[in-house]
Amino acid sequence: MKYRTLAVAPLVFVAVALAAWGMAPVGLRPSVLVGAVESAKVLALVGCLVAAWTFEPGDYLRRAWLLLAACTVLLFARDVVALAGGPALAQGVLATAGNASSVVGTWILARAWTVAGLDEGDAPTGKWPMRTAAVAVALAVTGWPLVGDLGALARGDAFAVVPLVSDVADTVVLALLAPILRTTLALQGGVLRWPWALMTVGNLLWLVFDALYGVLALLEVDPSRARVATEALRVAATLYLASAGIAQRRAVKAAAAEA
Amino acid sequence: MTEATTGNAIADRIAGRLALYLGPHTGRVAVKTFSVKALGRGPETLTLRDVPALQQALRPMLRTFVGRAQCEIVLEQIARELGL
Repeated sequence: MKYRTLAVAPLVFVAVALAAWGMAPVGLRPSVLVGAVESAKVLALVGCLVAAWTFEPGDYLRRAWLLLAACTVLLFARDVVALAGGPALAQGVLATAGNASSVVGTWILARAWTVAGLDEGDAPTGKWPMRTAAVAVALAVTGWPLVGDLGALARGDAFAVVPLVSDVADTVVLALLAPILRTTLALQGGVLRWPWALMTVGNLLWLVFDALYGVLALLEVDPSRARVATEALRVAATLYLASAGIAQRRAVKAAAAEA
Repeated sequence: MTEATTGNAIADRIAGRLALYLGPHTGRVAVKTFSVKALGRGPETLTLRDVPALQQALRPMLRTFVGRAQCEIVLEQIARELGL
């Protein structure tokens, strides 16, 4: 599959899903959205595993891809439990474990540039403005839901821990967008830019997703009224992870193809 | 003796090979960074005799981005291109 196809495929998938949603009878529309979200998660899992198996055990990026795969599996399992009307505690545990996997996997990705030893050639002050900006944007986007969940926890709602952990995870992952974006920009012109760029697009879409939820909360709008928009963003962001995984394999195998 | 006077050409060749994966800018940065780290001097001074040490220095970086197996393929391609 060509890199450009991988870049466009998530958008095509979302367009098809939205068309199906529009054409479906009103009663079936929620099922169409659920189907699109869960299909995207399965595809993301395949993408992550394809990327992980491109590397050998012990390879640095293999760990990152396996953790992102674990995140996808755990969040998929959480959805299955929720759809089956399973206990909230089990959903909370799965969501928390999934978010933790996502944070650690993204952290490993974000550190790749440093681990590779390439930041020794950077100006010492060059990375801080971007990092600071990323933390500020992350807090601006997730700050409002964080405050809301902390408030709920303070009022004695123990189950507020789950969205709170999710918000903290989102904040960390969004803040890690800076080093990932920096790596993407530095790899410009090389085949490895593709997995990094697709991952960056996915993370940017999560940023928009979280920002949209924040705006809805700020305006006191019921999120279910914007469900099509939020789910379309969720599907697109999830599918960019799938595309990134496949692009990772293609880029790494470029060496063998030339040998 | 021509080897000692082709420093830039060797560095450019290696940077060109790395550029396929890392892009031209980072390819050049990598050769510069790891030349200084491994040899204590810039890429403009590279000779064929320096290449094994530079390859060794490039190895952790390549392993991080493309894994061990592909890293060895890339290093082998570099050696082949330089006639080593």
